Amino acid sequence: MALLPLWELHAGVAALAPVYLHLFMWGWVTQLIFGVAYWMFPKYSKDKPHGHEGWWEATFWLFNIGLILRIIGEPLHLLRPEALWAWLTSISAVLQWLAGMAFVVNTWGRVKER
Amino acid sequence: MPRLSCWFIRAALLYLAVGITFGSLLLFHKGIPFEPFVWRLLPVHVEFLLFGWTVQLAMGVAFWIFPRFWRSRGDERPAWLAFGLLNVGVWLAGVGPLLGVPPVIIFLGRLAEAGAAAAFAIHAWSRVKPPGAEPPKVPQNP
Repeated sequence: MALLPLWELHAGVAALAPVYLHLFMWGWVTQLIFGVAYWMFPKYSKDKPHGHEGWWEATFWLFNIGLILRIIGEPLHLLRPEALWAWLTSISAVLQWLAGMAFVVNTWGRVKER
Repeated sequence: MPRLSCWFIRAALLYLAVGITFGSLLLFHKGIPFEPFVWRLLPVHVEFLLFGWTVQLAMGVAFWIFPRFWRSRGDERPAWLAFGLLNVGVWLAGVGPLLGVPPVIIFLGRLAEAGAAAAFAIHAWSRVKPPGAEPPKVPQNP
């Protein structure tokens, strides 16, 4: 994409811009924050130091499956609008939203004064 | 976790929830269009997630875990000011365009965000130190 201002490249390269941005800010920065919060935020309780482990696992899988579907669906839908890519894009939105909400709910109880 | 960090991090979590809700609506609409209005949510989606979530969380965690001076975190007032300015800024610069406010309001929001960054830097500067360093001298009231 850094070559775009210099050369006229295939339209598919420009279609990757939102995917690139979200791979970086969502797939890397936000996921790293989620992982570090899971590790070092105050304990939820003695029995459940991380909160509900099932929710954390759900967060991880929803987050990454949603992101992968987006990587496939969004650029393909921009280049060749077909029902399959449209659905893939919209389903990825729902999965990533669920991942974020599960993180917020599971982390809220761990943000507390000592 | 100190009280101010709780405020920073809880506010960040709320911005994350709203920011990804707007982002998910935008992405869903890209696939299956349902309401053209959702495109107007793009600036607030970006503002809430970049400043409301990421920057605010970084400030909250930094205030909590940066090195301390024995038990003290130094002068906390600039950090509280940063919390206030950042949230005012996010609302003015983020929600302002959605409500069609004049550009000067959005500029004031950006100014508040810049002020938040400066205030937090003033607080945190002396806490970036090797172990055992002396706290900065704070002028005493007569």
